[in-house]
Amino acid sequence: MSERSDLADLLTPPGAVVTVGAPIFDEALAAQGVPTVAVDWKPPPAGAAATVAAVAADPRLADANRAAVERMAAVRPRLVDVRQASELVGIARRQLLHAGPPIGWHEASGPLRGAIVGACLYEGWAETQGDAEKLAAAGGIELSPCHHHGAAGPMAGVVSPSMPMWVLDDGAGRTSYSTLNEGLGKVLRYGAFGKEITERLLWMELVLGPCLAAALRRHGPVDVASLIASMVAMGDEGHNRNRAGTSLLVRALAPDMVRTIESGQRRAEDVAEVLAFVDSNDHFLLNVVMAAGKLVADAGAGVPGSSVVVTMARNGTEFGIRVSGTGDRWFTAPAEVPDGLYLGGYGPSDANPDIGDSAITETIGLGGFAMAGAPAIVQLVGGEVDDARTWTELMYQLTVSEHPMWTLPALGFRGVPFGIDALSVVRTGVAPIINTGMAGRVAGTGQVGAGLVRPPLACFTAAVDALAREAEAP
Amino acid sequence: MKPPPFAYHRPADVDTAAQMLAALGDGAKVLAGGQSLVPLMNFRLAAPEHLVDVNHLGLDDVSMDDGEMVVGATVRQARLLSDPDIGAVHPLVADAAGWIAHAVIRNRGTVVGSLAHGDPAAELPAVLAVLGGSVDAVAWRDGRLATRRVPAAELFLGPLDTSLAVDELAVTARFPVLPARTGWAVEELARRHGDYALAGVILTVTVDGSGAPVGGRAAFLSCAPTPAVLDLTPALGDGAGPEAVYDLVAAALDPTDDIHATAAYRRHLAATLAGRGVALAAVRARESAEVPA
Repeated sequence: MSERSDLADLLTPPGAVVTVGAPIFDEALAAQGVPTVAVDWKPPPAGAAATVAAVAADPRLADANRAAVERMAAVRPRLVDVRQASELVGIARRQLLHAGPPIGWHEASGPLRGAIVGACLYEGWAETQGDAEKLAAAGGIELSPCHHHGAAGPMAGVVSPSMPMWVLDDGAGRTSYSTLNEGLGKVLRYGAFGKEITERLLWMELVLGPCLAAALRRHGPVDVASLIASMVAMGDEGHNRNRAGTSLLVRALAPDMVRTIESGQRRAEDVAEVLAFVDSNDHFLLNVVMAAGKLVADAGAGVPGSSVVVTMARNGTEFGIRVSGTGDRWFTAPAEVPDGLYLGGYGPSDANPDIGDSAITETIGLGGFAMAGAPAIVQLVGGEVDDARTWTELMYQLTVSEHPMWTLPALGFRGVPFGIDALSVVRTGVAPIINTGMAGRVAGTGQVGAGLVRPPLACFTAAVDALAREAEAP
Repeated sequence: MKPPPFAYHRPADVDTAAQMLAALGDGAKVLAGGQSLVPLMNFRLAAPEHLVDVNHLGLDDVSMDDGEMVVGATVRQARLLSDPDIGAVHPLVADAAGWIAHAVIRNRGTVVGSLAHGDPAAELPAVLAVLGGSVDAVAWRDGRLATRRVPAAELFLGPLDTSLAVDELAVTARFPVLPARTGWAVEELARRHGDYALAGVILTVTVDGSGAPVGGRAAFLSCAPTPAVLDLTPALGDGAGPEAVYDLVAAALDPTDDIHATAAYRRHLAATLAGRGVALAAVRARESAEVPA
């Protein structure tokens, strides 16, 4: 009988050995020349077993997670306008937004302090670095997270009232915002400040913002969901690689930018400067992707019993997450320092802990989660091309679903891993992977490199703890 | 456990020891470190009537002679590891010594004693075999001390069986030093550290001026009644890799089943270890010759 011979064959070499967990099993077999497939598995962290069990047994869990992810996947963000922050995000004089969970000046790291100083100089609230620091230390600047104002800010994420911001909507009444990207190197979001930075911010306020606004208003809404689908198919991952997406956006807007010259709205020289600026900055689209991420992720929030992660953000001191089923509550832990490649003469001791709202890209399946489609990213963040694919494949273990539109040709057009399940993170001990830029530790330095970083698992165990307290019994 | 009764003899020079062995014949065994003989006696697997203790004959020198490291009869295995001069002159021997049982056994056990014991699972017989070394033995014959040199290839006859006659005393072992551009490797697998190896290999690889392997030789532990010596050279030519070494070894060795392992497993293990060892030995050969990797 065939079943019988199949069973007998099971014990006849050559077989395949799968080892799970402790490496000693795999090492012992490797020493004997036996081919193995090693499964990297760890039991849940000590003390988490009971909460993991309680959340896993919550009868609402599967439906709640499916609902949260379906809501997220259904969002079609549109780029509609560029306007001044003071009109959009409810910030008044002497108020600044920042990346990550809530934080005060005294806990702020170098790059966040540097960006606050730079924003004070730009807004004219202070004349010197010293004045700005004094003002902030005395409580003269009110700080609030971007995430509490419908916005997402890369790196320090500092938003001041005069800055122009992208406006996105979901076509159904929700809006989100993000500043315009300044480029790389010595820029405000990496904590640099001074004359060069202030002049650039003023140009962005007076020339870049209005030029983009005029073009966008003529053009009408840009479908960002489709734009992301195209760029992911063209080798971008939407976090540290936005080269194709930036080009696609400019290609779409260029005719209407030119028409603003004809109509006398803008000078030809300004339009040329805008196009040259965008050409010099492959990260130009990042902020648009982040604002799109804000619309997508927020749509998944507030589903009772859901363990889907709807926010991952860092303020340079702490990493914070929010989960669909636990409302507005942040679960934070000290941020890690990224591991990657450094610019020029910088090294690991120059790097600040992880900072920025840009992990919103990973929260919606892009960035580190979509690396399989962006193998060139390893030249920026380190590692081998095969690693890019491995990271994406690993992330499928953490997600509830795959995005229906954003598909990876390299994986047979499989959708990017979408909808991080905090419960899966705790159960596997595998933390999400994030592609990120690295800011200098010292205020004023700017960018020192780029690399990979993982959120501290403690954020996720705390979230699962909170879910367990409210879990329904089976 | 304790041994059966025996008479203890403690000669003070080699002549006297040889005369005693000649006089006592079959009933006598030489006692050096006692790390194999005494357990055998305690288990009642051996019951010699006389033990001739050779620890006081002044045979504890290590010296160099004609390109060979010469080790006296009562030099302890531990010294191979602890003496930096030995490590510098003969790194293969020092490396292999680290795989012998446990530290307390090496503190007492002797190099020559291990060779005279002829255990096919032991490291030192395989070392002597792969290097083509020899043992000098003496016997009291025709009223005088006769000396003969026994090459490794003629020394080991079977498990715990050597060509040393009952009246012969092994006084020195001779380990030829490695030729130029030659590296070595010791690879073993045991269930627990210090246990007898399920299989093991001690091998050398020689490279040419460009770093390409041109010759290799291996001796296997626990794979045959005596240290099994193979010429690996046919598997080291152009384009040949670890797979060729594996195939050569697997085809040449003919181990047997026992309670510890099947013959097929031993063959696979020995071939795997040889493939791994050849790679390491080639790297060491290039390092020693400072040729490109």
